[in-house]
Amino acid sequence: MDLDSDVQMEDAIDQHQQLQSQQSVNNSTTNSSLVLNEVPISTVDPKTQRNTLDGWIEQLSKCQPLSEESVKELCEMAMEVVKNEQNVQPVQVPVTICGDIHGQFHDLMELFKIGGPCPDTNYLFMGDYVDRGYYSVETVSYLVAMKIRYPKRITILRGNHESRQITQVYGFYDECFRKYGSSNVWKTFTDLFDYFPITALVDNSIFCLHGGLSPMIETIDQVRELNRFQEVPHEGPMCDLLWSDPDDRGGWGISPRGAGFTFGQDISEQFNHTNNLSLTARAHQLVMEGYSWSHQDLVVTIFSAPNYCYRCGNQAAIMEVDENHNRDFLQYDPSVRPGEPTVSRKTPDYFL
Amino acid sequence: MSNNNIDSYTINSAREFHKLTTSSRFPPKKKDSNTPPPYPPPAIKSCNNNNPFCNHCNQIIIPSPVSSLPIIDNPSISINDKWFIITNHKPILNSNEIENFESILNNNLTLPEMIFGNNKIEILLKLNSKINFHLIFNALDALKLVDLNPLNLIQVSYADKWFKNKIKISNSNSNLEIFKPFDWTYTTFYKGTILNSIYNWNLDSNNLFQIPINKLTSNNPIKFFDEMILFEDELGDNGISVLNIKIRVMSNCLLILQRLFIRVDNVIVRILDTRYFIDFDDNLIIREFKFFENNYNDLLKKVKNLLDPKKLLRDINWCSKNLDLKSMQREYIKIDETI
Repeated sequence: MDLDSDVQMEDAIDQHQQLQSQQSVNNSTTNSSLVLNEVPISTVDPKTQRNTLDGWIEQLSKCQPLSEESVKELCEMAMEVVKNEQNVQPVQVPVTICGDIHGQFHDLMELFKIGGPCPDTNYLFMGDYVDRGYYSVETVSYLVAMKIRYPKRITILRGNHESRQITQVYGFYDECFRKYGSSNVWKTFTDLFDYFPITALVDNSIFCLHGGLSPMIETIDQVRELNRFQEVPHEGPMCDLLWSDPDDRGGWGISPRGAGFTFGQDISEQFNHTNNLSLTARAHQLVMEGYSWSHQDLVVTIFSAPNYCYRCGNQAAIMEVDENHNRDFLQYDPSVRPGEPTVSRKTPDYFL
Repeated sequence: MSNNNIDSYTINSAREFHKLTTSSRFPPKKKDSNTPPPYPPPAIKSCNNNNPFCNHCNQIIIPSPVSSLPIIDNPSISINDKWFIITNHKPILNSNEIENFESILNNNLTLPEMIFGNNKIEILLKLNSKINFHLIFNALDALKLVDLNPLNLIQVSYADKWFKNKIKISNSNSNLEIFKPFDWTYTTFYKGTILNSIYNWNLDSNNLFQIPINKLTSNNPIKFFDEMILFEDELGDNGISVLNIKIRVMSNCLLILQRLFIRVDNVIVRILDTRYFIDFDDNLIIREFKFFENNYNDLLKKVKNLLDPKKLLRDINWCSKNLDLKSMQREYIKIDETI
């Protein structure tokens, strides 16, 4: 939380490039400007990271998946960036906070249109990039590439779907298999997910995470002490942070499923008070309007996948927080695009 | 049975489907809209101007030519001016509608994540401008039949482990309890809502009124087809519970299949099928209810030679063919037009 707001934000790639050009200068005994000009612009040469990365981003922005080798390289680079982030990653205002995306790539592009392009706008995503939509691979590749490109401008948290077990049931595994012919890419990504930060703190005031609170977590410092570098466990504080839901009933509730907590308004009040927070922002639950207040405006749920699963007809929303902590919700509708069904119905079916 | 269900979505089929829907949305425009379509026989009519007959295939066009998002559509058809079939599509419920639903259900259960509470399929039999039979399918009535205090509450596979951990906490925090011990798998024995019927159901104890497969497999073209979800829940990512309903109407009969598919990963798989077969010529209504269930692992044993065997357990059609039938019930109504 000791971030100096006067420090100019920098991009890792810029640093890298500076380093690279320095090296080129050092290695060169001839005219340095000539050497700089000779840095080849290529989208495949792994030695020219900047161009590779920009090439990847350009390719991904057209919803074209990267090659298996590139994904591997991408994830290695991303790991270096995210593993050094904190369990409670500090984020500064202004920032736009987003909820579940679920492989709806075109809706993610719409999100960047509505919220403003990255890096001009700072973004904080609260997890669930994969599963259910048709373009989990492209979606998560794109976000990860943007994370490497603009590490201080975009924050990506882990959702409960960023896990090996869940992705095997809800589509990401199948999609990787379909698009790459093997599970290698799935493995590469799920290995990377273990390094994603699990929560973020916006200007010491808004606590952001995918699911909700945990009875084992009373202070934000306790989140900092967790070992997050693992598969999302079935129980314990890390599990709760990615899974729990707010409820109208007070106190801690247990889901009749036999696992998972709900937390009441008293819990939110206590947590926000103890940690001097104005708000807990979370995702994880579908809401028709794209966002929903609970616990008398102590908790907000943000959901950013419009027409979820291509059949719910729901709106999506993102929350802008400006320098003065004013909050503004931007809602957006699903749009009809080629290649995606607008309704879940198909041609007449001679079912029996 | 065709392979059309949510699980079998692939990008290609989605594209194909999209092409089909978009191309069917724009039939050649007629200058005089009052001219009736040339093909449909007079006995079968569309009751909704948004859903005319296609000039090419003679089928009611769904979705309507003007597409709208959020999805709103209510196609309909009538047969011999006696039978009226109406369906309704709308997006999932918004917050106000959910609150309303919850109060109707006395806040006793947490509603499924996706409730298509305004979707419905409605069948009406009107004789001499009197409604003799009125059947409707909707999510609210289906959810009313979810058990609020089941004797054997199904638990997720890792519940034991989770509960051990819970006991540790509850020592310090004694108010931990399951607030609403409702059947969170949303198992419902809903067979549609009979709003009005002057006829009584007869139990088919002698197996005389089986649904006639030959009538349904003959080359009788489908005049009207619709499919919708009434509710769906991902069970907190522990599986799925989805109540889906399909209808197809031919010139002489119709078939409705309401299917509730429940899969609790590593625990249980259930299918509850309700079929309505209505024979317009024979004035007969057959209702058949089937309950299938297997242990998850028992069903998994039926999968052979597959790299990813659990994949088939996510395929509703495969499950429907491989699950064990636990119970069934068949009833019928002989419609007496003289009443």
